Amino acid sequence: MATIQNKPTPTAPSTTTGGGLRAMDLYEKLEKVGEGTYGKVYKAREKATGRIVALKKTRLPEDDEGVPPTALREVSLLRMLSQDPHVVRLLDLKQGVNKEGQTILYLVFEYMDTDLKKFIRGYRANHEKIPAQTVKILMYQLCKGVGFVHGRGVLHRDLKPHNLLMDRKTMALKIADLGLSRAITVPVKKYTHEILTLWYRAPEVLLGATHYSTPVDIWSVGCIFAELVTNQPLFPGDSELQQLLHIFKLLGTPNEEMWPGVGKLPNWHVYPQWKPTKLSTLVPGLDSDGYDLLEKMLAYEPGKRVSAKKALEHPYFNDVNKEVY
Amino acid sequence: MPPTMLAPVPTRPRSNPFRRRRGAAPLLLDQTSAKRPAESSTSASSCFYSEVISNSSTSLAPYQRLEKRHRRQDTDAGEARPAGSECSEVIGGARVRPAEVEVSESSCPVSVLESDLACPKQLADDAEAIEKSSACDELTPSSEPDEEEVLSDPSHSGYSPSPLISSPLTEDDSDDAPSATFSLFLDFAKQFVPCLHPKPCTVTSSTLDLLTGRRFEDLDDEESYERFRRRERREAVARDFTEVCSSTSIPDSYRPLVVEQRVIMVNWIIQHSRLMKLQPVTMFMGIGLMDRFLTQGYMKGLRNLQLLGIACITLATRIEENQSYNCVLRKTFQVGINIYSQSEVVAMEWLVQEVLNFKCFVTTTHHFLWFYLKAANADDRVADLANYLAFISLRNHEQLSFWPSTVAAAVVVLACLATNKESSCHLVTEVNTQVLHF
Repeated sequence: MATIQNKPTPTAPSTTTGGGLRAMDLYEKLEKVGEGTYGKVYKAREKATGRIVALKKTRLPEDDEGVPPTALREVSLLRMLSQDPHVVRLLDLKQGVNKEGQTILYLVFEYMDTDLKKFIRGYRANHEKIPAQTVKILMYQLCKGVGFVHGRGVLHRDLKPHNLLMDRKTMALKIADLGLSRAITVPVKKYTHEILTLWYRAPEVLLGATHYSTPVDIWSVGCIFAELVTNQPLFPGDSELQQLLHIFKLLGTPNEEMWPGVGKLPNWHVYPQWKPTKLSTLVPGLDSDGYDLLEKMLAYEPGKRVSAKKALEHPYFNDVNKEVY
Repeated sequence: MPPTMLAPVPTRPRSNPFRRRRGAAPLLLDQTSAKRPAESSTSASSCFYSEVISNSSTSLAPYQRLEKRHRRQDTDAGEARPAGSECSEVIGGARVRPAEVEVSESSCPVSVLESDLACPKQLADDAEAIEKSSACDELTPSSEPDEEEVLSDPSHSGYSPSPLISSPLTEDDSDDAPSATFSLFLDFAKQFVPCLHPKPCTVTSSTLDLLTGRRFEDLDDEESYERFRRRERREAVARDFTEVCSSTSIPDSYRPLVVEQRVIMVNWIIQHSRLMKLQPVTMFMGIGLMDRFLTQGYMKGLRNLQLLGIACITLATRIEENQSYNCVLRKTFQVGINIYSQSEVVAMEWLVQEVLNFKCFVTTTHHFLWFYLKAANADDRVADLANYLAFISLRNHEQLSFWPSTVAAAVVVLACLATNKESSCHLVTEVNTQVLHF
């Protein structure tokens, strides 16, 4: 039987499975650099080209269970998002078996040398603040990436510094780890309380809302914004209740006047009545435009929270060279 | 082989006819009428519309049952769902079908007998399908030259098979022996025959310009609607897989089997979704994945076509349902008298992901129904009827020639007409900005 000559298209990475070369025949693992939602991440070199990539490894715990939902969603969503400079690029997929005969799925990503968590921690260790212009450039890229993701109908649902990859030289920032993401369907679709990192979780999710949407990601962006300015997480709770109390203590306990419908959310009950603290006290070091944008990102009522697209037009970003990012 | 497979058929209806009818009774009529589209395209078209017209008054009954289940599902949405019923794992090789059937019957007789998915009509139809499958198997050697021609066609374009399909595993390193499921996957990949595609027409910018202008009061709804329309146009061009396959050298005698099995599996997916209390969006996605796969090629053999349907709904379940569905939950699946193992389903899932290039999100009619019903200010009667019509349309492969948004607009317009809400029709057509002929 004649073999078809394949012409690989530049835009769509080809998928190879056990029949072709295994991932480890094509890549040389250099070091383990972290863990994603569902698997280990390795720095690796592509043997044919010498290119450095990131390999995300998924071992299926039980061979007969199929590809887990986190990997299935991440791959499908990345395929749907195609290419954007502010979303990490999925270069290839390798499906094969390891030496124990277990099925392995490798996702091959472009390599980024650090993430925002390490970046912030570096400044904190030196007792320094991140320069204001650097904060602005990073926030602009984050809003642009989130705007793109939301514009394509995807909720990230796990935005946090660890999932925002960076290149130290260029200050490029990219959104990564879509393992907990979901495609937005009709506006009334319900989602469960899947694992959203607590510190960056929106109040409507903490209060048990299942009809949530893009504003949950904007809340996370607001928390990251504050953390970039102060080097400290804004709401570091250690349980769902503590997380809520943390938010209410600092921003004031919400009521029906500022957040119509809050009393009907499943986890709502009587909370201590705290008064709001000024953002300039909570997050010292921003100018008035910055405080205005941050306030709009941390609005209690989801519908009042600024969208990523609108945030890009905010005066805070007026002096960003928007052609470069 | 065929006589052995056919032997059990006559005894089943007689032994437990009443028990089987109990659960499946409401859908029997649908299944009976659904079989007719396979006879001919003209007959299929007339049967579809006559079904709609003749059942317009009584057809709400079965849907209302589905609706009750869906409503109950909404109530329970936040709670973890119990796992679906499991049969004991099949003993022995998955390929030994008679032994497989016998073992399954003896090891879990109660669940088999009580299964809603097995019914006398379906058994009889499956017997015919098996005969056709045997006939197709006999024709396979004579179709060999056609396949060679396909493979050597220099004008080959469209879907390019992955290196896996074109270069099957040759070096078998004993240290890296693949698992049973993975071996099944490789075997299924060899039985997939890709279709040749004409160059798809590009969606022009003028088409996208049609999306401008306000259509909904709520700005968020407006943005959501535009997003779905853009996604719809960005995905594969709307096409009926039977038209795609007819342009290649798929054996003519094989096409009716694909059409017939598609209808059977659409019905099976609908029943499976109801039993598992899946969301409508999941059911539509499962069927959408199957239809998209069939525009890329076809699988040889009846078993593979049925496995395809099962794999598509299990994939859709893990993508779209909430987190209690982390894996393929059941050890076996049953379609008529055929039993499929978890390994086979997972292996077919891998092939589906390969062929679709891991693009497992499809835009479906269901995505658009909500918007058009809102635009029409539909009441419950219109909404119920529109949803029911959308269910019915899934069985007819000819609707695949239209965009999902067009099909959704059509069923909403029909529902408005049937419930004397003509004044709402122009609202739907304005939103859809397409001319609909009835």
